[in-house]
Amino acid sequence: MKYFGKRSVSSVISILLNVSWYLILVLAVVGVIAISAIIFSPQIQNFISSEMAKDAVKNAKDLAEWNEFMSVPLFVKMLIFPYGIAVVTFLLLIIRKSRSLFENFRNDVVFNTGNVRIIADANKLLIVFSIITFNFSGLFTCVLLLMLGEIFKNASALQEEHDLTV
Amino acid sequence: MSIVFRLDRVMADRKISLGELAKRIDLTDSNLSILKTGKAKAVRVETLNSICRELNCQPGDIMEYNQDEK
Repeated sequence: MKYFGKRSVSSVISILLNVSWYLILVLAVVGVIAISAIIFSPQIQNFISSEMAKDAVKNAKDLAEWNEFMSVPLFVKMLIFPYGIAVVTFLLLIIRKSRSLFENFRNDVVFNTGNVRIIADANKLLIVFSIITFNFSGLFTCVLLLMLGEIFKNASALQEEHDLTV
Repeated sequence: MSIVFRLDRVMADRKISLGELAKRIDLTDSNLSILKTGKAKAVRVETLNSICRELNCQPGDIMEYNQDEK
């Protein structure tokens, strides 16, 4: 299996990251519209309440959670927007860094200082993302990424030495 | 670097171009240029051997230790 260069695993991952970048962007816009409609439109709120009330026994838990959500003051509900924007922004930044890393792998640029910097930046973003999404197992990934960054740092030094050996 | 390459001087004495020497010792022009300009971090004994053979010189003729230059 080919890992670097054209028509390799890196090439496929690069395409998938490109697709997910646009997909997340579209989903974020749709999400903002949907949440705005739920929070600000009484018609939609009534519609959801009536739909849940139709099968109140089955939806008892959901109905209770919905009623609890509706009882929250509007300004508290609106906090979902800055939080959502922060989560989506960090996610997009992580994907952008990963995309440029795999783009370099696709072009057979593996051990160079640029990739070391990308990994270090992605690691910082992942730490913040793990904290704001309360995904503390993600911090374990950050430690692995930190080690990978050090490996890339040493490897790029060796690569430079190899390139400058005549 | 303290080791300075005087390859250009020897090449001028022998009236041989960079491209010609690179071809004779089976090295790329860019790699020989790295050596000539002093950007190289290491030199293989094999490369040094080929250069000395083609230029009919000693390793000391193409490189020297200079205390002033860093």
